[in-house]
Amino acid sequence: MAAIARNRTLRDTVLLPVAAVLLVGLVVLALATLAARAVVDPRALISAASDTAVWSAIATTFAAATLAVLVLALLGTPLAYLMARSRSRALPAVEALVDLPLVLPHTIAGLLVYLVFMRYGPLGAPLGAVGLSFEDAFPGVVAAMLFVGIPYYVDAARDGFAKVPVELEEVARTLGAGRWAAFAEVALPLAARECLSGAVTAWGRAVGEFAAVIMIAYFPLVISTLIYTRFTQYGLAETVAVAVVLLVTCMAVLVLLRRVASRLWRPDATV
Amino acid sequence: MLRCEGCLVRAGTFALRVDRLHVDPGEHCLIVGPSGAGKSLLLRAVAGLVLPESGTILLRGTDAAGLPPEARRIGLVFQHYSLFPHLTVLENVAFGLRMRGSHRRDARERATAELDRLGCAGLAGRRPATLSGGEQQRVAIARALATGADLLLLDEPFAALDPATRAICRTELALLRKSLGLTVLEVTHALEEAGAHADRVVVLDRGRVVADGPYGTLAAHPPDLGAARALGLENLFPADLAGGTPEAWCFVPPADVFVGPPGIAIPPGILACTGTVETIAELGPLSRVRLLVDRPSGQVRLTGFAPAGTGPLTPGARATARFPANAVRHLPV
Repeated sequence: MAAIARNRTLRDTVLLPVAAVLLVGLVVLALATLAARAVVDPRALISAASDTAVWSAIATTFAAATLAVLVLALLGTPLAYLMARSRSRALPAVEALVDLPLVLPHTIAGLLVYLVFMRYGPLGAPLGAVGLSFEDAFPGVVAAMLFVGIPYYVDAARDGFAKVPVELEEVARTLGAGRWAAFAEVALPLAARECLSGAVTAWGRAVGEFAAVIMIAYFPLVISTLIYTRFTQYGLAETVAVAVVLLVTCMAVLVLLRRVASRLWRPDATV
Repeated sequence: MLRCEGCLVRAGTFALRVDRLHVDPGEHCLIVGPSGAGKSLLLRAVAGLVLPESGTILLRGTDAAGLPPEARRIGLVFQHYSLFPHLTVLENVAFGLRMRGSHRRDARERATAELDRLGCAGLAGRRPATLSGGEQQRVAIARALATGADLLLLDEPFAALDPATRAICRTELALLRKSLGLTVLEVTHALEEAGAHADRVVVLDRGRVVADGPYGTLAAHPPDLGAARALGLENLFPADLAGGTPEAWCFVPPADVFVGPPGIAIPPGILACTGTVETIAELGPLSRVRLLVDRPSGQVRLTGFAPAGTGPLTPGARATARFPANAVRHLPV
């Protein structure tokens, strides 16, 4: 009995913290290695921080990611709601399609985006006719980021809607709300936290996207393509300084977004 | 107020058939039946949340077929009240008024008046999660009534309350119904409690109405075994206990069963069986005694009455249940 108790104590007090520390430690080690390389050459770091190309790439990336997430929220929220409420036999197929970008190599995701949005593509051609071109253009970056962000947003939002009891919407209907009002006044506010959490994750994924973006839009340069360009053209030292600037900026924005998302009021779902 | 004629409502593979159901204005009608009988589906059909495949539902004399839920002027209250957790009590009650086109300020004023009428004015600024079960139930009813609903559909609205609060809420609902002339259609499992306040009981079993009438009449004369079970009646037993075949079923009202010590002479016309006392509950001058009787077809539970404090009746003791042969009712299976 004493041996069992000792094993339990060992497991509870040692194994769990060690596992957690190992994973966090891996990320910290990577960051520390990058920082160590950066501090040996502070002039490169200052140069990178004052480089307009770097800030232009950051602005392009954040703008494209934000636009992609807005479009995702606009189109993905109704999809997530319908998926949460559907009992259709086609649902597993729709779920698989939504999650497809998760399992695709991102070069293939980029290829798909390119095929659809290139100037002769099924969407690229008609949209090009009205002046919206995607190849080596900002809309191309948004399209690539949108495509890879679909599962991150839709899955989170669907989980949020699934947690809202359908009875709440039924009561809203009997109180005078039409289908849209029951969705907008009851289901959406109650799933807002999960939707926002999904939006933040999708935004983070979009900011980090490289392969899918570069397949359709090498220009305008986004963060990932800028890093790649600097690495192939100027080598490691130059790239490390730029990477540190980008990393600090991205982390600050992501932490801010997460804090905003977590501070949203959480209603008691059991009522 | 409500008439269902030849309705067929489907939910997946389950089918609910209601050939005829009439609820008059001001009536309190209970819907009872075993789980899966179609009780909640019936309420949802009346509310317009599911549409019948065939048949008609008339609300206030008008065919409700083309009416969406928001146009039916009904109030729906579920077991857990389904108050909107992201809104305050006042916003919950004002919700229906806003949805029906009232200006936000007017809606809040009318909601305040409705809360005041139900004695909930002090709850206006609170969130549903902070309310007790009884308070939530009052707010849910206030919310339903604020929109002018005159038909309340209640789906086990008191099931989550403790017995004392349940009794208070039932009395309040009865007073409210009488003062406002409300019609109430209530799904319940607590038939004994609800029966005293209701005008009628409709028994559903496997998607069909198997009995419809006042509770007292149905409890004394259940039309068949399914209805008797759905009504939660005691003293249902295979007919071999009363000299018949075990394939048939019988029922004897507990009021006709006398429980006493074993060994007393049995006069002609009286049936008797001996068993073990399971429970005893003191009810004033009488004790309600539950007896377990072993039969070849299995154990039978009989409930009857004994004078309180007389005789050595304790749980585990042997006792005899006696009842007049002419009190036994044979039930179609």
